[in-house]
Amino acid sequence: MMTTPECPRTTLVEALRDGRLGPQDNASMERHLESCAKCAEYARDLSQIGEAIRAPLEKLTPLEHQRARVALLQRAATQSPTRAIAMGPRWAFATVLLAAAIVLGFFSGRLDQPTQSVAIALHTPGLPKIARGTNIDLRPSDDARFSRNHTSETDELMLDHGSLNVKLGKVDHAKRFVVRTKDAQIVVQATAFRVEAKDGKIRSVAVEEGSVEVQYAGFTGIITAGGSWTATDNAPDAAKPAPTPAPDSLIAPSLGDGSPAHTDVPQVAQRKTIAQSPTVQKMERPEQPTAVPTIAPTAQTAPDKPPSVVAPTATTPSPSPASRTFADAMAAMRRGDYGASAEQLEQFAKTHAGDARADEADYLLAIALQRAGRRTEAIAAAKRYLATRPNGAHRADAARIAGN
Amino acid sequence: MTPGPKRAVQASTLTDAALFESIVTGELGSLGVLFDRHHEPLRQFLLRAAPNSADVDDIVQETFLTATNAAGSFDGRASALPFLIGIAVQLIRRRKRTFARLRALYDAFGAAPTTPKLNPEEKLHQAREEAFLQAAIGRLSEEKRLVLVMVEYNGMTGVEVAGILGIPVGTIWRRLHEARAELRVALERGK
Repeated sequence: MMTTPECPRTTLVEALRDGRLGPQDNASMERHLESCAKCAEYARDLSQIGEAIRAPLEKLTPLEHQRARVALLQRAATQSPTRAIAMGPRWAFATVLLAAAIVLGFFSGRLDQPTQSVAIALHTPGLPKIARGTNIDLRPSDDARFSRNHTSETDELMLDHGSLNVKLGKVDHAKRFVVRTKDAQIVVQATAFRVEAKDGKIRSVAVEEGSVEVQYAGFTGIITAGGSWTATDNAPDAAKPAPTPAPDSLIAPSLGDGSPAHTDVPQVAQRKTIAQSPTVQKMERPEQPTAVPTIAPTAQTAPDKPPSVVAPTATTPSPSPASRTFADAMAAMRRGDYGASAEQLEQFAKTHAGDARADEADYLLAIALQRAGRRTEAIAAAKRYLATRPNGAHRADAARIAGN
Repeated sequence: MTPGPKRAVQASTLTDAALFESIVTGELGSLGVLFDRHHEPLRQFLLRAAPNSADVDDIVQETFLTATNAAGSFDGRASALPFLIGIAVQLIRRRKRTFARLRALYDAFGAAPTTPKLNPEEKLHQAREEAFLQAAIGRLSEEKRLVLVMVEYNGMTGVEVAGILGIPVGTIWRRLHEARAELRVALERGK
């Protein structure tokens, strides 16, 4: 029967269990438990509680495990926001944008994360909604050359050279606010940010509040408050986005040939200070953050350094060819283009037979073919899977497709 | 044929740190190996720590996805499980609001546990005690339950738990003590 502890040493029973006692006290308490009924009862209760916590719970079956594994790899490849929506749209969005920034090295630029990465992944705020009816405060650098095109539907700043500190108050909700250079487009969802260009080319973007969506070289990335991105203009072509689209939800190829981002910026720029805000003066391009940016790979090179000094951007992480092919296949499957998915998976199987996802790829090929209505080929693929993967994780499902 | 299995085997023999490094470079295939290693332990932790077990598998997936995004911040320790648990804990906290309503229902249910039919047999008595304990564990506050599960199920030290939860070690011991005290009350009722 458990009662209120009366032994003065009862408080040490818990410490004994948790390993908080020194060797001497430990031995002393163990001896004490043999003679003290109160403390022994307390120890038994603690033990019973521990056993209750450790009581075996049902484990996943191997098949459930493999299905969960495939689902995870698919989600990692495509970072589907619809699945992540269970955590709330803001979290899902943060995940997607962070993944885009990390996996692609933010399109061969340098991304400075302001805080610890896990915290970013979990705490990145959602995009602020631009409220109705306010103005824009600009503070250009002394050498800035830019022009502004203001219509009822859009508000575009075309920056040719120099830097702009931009502070948004309330903006017409229906109006699109964009900053452009010759090679990039920045869709503004921020309330305070700085953009810098040189000779028409984007150099850097730093966000103080809110977020911006940067479209550059065919890819889209998002910089949130406290983050910055610096273009590495001498990135090798291999590090540039490939013609084939990257995972659809991760990065959205958004600039086509006819994209406004590729239109020429007026060479005759005008300098215009619309307003000056004290808050803008505070906004400086973030230097190296105090917290170590542990996620984002950094090409530790200033963009202005000569190419010979610049660290090769090959060190900038980007999806491996295998990951890209797998992601493409998953993206095709998600949009219902099973034929294309099958082709990608076949390509993956041929080119990356040693990849850790090869088992999934072989199995998913049969699935893709089946969904494409190519039943005979699906059966053949399933039989091939069964023949080549005696320990395959999806043998049961493959056998079902094969009609065994 | 040989390159495939060979490389797969190599991936499976990599350390957790090497796998995370691989993920950082874009090799998401390593995620599958990490999943194989830590999926079930993480799931077992969540089954005990998450207020709503129906969401456990979803949180597991989100945890690995988040870990993928945060791969570069892995500190290189031998096992990635504490790292994954740390992420899962943050996800649980994020969902706290969502759980609040379900929790209220659960509390209402748990406040009046169904009394099993009287039976003198010891086995039934133990089952009754177990039921009271499990219900009481479910009624613990999230913070107390997290500490309890990390210490009793995962065998973590106070320092490790404090590191994951971001609170002082003294607070860990206090919460652990309070959790056990609540459970002992439930245990007494079940006796």
